[in-house]
Amino acid sequence: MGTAPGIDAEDRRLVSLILRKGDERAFRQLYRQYTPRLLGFVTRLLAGTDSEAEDVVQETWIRACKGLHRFRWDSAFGTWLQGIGFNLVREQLRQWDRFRLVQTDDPLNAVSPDLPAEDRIDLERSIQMLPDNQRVVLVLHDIQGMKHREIAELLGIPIGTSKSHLSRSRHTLGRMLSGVMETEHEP
Amino acid sequence: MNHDEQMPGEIEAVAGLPKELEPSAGLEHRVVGALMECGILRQRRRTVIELTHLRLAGVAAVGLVLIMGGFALGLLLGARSSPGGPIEHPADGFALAATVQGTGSDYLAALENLTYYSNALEEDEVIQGREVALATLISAASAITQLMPRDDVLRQVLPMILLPDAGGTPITGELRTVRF
Repeated sequence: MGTAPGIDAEDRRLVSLILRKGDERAFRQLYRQYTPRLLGFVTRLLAGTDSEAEDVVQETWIRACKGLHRFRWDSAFGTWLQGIGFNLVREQLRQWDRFRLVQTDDPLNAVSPDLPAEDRIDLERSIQMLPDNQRVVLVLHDIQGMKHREIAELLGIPIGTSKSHLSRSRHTLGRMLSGVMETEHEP
Repeated sequence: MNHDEQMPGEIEAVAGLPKELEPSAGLEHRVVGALMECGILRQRRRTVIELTHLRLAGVAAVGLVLIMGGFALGLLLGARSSPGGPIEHPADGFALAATVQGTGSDYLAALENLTYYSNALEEDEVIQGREVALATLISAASAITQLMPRDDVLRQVLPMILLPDAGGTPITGELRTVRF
């Protein structure tokens, strides 16, 4: 996930201010720029409640700021931040130790412009109900727009596995949306 | 969106879902608070005028002068048949009373804003709010002093409002008794 050079330079300036001066205003600027995307990412990967997702986002920022001096700008700041968020999601999923079916009345509060609200909620619910490994690949690939190579690198799995998870997740999702509840759990 | 696999209709819909979600209003506050506790962020130095008890008392005294002066002026001119000074339509006591009342209300609103913004957290808000509040205050005071240019007490109102800035000499908090 690349960023324009101007954004990157601005990010560097803000990060430098945080590191040198503990500048609150610089942090708020960085926070406001990256949090909506980070929250969207974490919410869908976690398939938990809004509050659980925000807790992970909060921890992501804390961990990121603590490790800010180690960030070498080999990737864009947003990509690095999402990597931290992803690791925390994975820790959280392991901690919960579950492939659970989530039932929430209002899973996401954003609006997809192309879908009627009831269809969007069905779709969001169905994504939440996917097994974790399928959901993670689906979100990373189809929503976040990552390539299989990037997903494989992030998850530490072969590219073929990423592709097969995606294929399965699409198949499962299609069945869910056509009214067949899929409850199969993968090891 | 990647196209390395065949995408059925449902999957296209997935790709169209929003990537961003608005965080709750309290999250930013919680994150900043946590980072301050860790010592990663530092509290910003506030550059606003602190509303000390003395300063607040001074501002309140100015307010009383303005309001009481305004009402007294309204009563005085309403009773007179030919008031002097710069008032163009002395017979219009109602309009004058309305001006006086409006000036008093503006003053009170400005005072409230000044207190609020002096205690606000966001530096930008503080500076903007303070400027607006002070401008209203000065405008209200100017209106009153123009109505009664010969009144000694009212002539001192504007200098009292134009308090020294944060780095300047603080006001003395001298008490004034105003008689009408």
